[in-house]
Amino acid sequence: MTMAPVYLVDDDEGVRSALSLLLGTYGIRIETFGDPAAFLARAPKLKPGVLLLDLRMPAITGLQLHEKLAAIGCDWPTIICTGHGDVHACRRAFKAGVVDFLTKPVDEQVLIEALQQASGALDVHAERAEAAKLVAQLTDREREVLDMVGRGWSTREIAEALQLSPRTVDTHRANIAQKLGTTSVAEFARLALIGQAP
Amino acid sequence: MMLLPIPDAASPTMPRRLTFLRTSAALAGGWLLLLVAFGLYSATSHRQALEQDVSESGRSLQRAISQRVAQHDAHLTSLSALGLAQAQPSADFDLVARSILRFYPRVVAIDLIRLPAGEVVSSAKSADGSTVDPAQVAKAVEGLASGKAVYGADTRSGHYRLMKRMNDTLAVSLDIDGAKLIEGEELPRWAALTLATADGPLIETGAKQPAASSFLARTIRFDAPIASATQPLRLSLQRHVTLAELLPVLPLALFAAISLAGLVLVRSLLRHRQDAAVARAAVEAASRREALRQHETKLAHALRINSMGEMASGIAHELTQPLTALLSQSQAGRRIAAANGLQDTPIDTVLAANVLQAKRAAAILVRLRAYVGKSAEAPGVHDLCRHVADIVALSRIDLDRRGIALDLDLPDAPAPARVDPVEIEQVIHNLVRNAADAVEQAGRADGRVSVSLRAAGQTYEILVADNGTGIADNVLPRLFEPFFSSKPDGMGLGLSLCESIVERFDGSISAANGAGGGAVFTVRLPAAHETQTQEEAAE
Repeated sequence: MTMAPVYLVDDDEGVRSALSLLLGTYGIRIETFGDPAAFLARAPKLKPGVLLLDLRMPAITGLQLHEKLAAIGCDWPTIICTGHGDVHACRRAFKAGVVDFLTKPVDEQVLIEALQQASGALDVHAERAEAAKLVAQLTDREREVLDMVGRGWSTREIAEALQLSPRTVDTHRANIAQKLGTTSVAEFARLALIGQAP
Repeated sequence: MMLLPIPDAASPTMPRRLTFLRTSAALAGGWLLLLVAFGLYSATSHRQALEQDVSESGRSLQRAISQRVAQHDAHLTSLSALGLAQAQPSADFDLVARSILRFYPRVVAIDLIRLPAGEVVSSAKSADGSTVDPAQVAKAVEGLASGKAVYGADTRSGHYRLMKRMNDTLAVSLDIDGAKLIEGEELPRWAALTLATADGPLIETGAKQPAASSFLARTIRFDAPIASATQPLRLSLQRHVTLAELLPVLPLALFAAISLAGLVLVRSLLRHRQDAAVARAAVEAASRREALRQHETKLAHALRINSMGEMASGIAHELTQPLTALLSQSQAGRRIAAANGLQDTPIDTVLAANVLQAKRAAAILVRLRAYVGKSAEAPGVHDLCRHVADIVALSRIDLDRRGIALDLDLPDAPAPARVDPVEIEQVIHNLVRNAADAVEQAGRADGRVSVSLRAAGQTYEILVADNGTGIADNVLPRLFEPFFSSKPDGMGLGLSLCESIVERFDGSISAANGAGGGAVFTVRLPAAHETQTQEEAAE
């Protein structure tokens, strides 16, 4: 499994260089930022990756940065690191969609596992975004048909349920196959599941 | 935190004594007025009673005398009828005359006179009857129509005559002792009485007194003619009244004594109440001061505890960063060593030991944090308005002394939020104190700190603003960092503590420079869905 790039935002120079060094030994691509504002400005141009944010920074907290990033569309998996181990901040972090919450100093094992999980989440995230993009091309009627196909209904059953002729249903299926780029019923089911889920 | 000196209530003794004297004088004056009014009232009513007495006895005497003099007219009529019935005056006339003398002792002599020569035809006399001068009678009735009577003076004082012409040849004369017109027991003992004719007094009793003319002590008079066509008499009564007589000494003294006793009682009750009120006020002031001191002590205690926690937390945070670097670097070092075939060499062992020591230090920090982060039970719902008002009242004592104005602006409705009231008070207290320091540092004479609370959607905002010089741009981003302070002797924990507390209740705190210069700190706290606060529940 290839690791997504990691973006580390921490105001402490020592922490930045140590973590760069450590993650480097794992072959993980890492980019570090000392200033949250600078990262916020760069983020839209960056390749999707995992965010490793320090909770306590001057002027802006890791949580606030996370919210601002989400607001500009960088809703990437985020890990918050803190020296505080503060339960309140922790609770709010999970509510805000942060995938993990680590207490500093972080043991390498814990950190690598969290990063791998976040990277997997990013893959799912990308996959879901792709599926959603495909499903979004369908008309309402096609989406209905896709849903029924995904549940294992036959053309005749769909035609009866929707009060259409079997030929019309087949036409819909052909259009769906073309728009989604696959004729596999299993793939239909997968795309219907992840592409339509909120 | 320094315990603020609370000013003692001013000593109430001096003004109290003055007040007491004033009210005493007023009461004494009132009492005197009351006495005078009571005296006037009783004198006037007594005098009216006396006037009525005099006029009533005067009238009844007048009535009695009028009846008596009318009897004289009746006697004359009877006598002349008898005298005319026979050519010669008979024994009948004499008989009737004698019985009149017997039954009416004031008629002392009855004479029948022949006209015009003036000789006595018949005469009846009682013991003190005088001898009539017939010529004088003849002269008195001369020119008088028959059956008419006339009054005449008598030679003896106190006597008068009543004469009647019967016809051309006869006249009858009565000698009347005026003193007997009033019977002894009828004479009023308390008044001077005069019954007089035009020629002089018939009766005169009581010493003549000079007419007094003072306000109340005037002489009471009764003066009336006796209703008779033939006997022109006049009755007068005089009652001299002295002030001493009018003033009822005993009732007045009684009234004075009773009212004085009443006043003294009222005065002592008043004084007692006053004393009680003063004592109560003193007790209340003392308990208020005590409550303030307790509040301060509670705040100071919370501040010590929280400051300790904040300090430990700050130290932990500061140590965490280098520790993180140390651990990660050591772990990276071991991986680099392994990649270069240096596993289990002394350098790897040293790095492994570093990893262990860093983890050990981290564990200590975890324990430290767990110790200071031990938070109390879940906060209840409290009215922010009340606690902001409380802490502003407490801070006001300090700011007043420093000559800094403190404004408070609260909404009318309560502001329920889920907080620990003492900790929130501590936050506001810190902000107000910082604001006061800033104002003082700016050296402003019109130093002013304003605290306000307002609802903004589902959030309450508490603003603490001052009119100092504001916050420098390079300080603003680091304001809430632990151990960062712009004050020379500051530890840099105050605002960091405020932030920790506010965040514990899911709130936030921010700082900015106000439009008119000076800093504005805004504390935002989520509104509680429950509207009943614990303060209300307790009430």
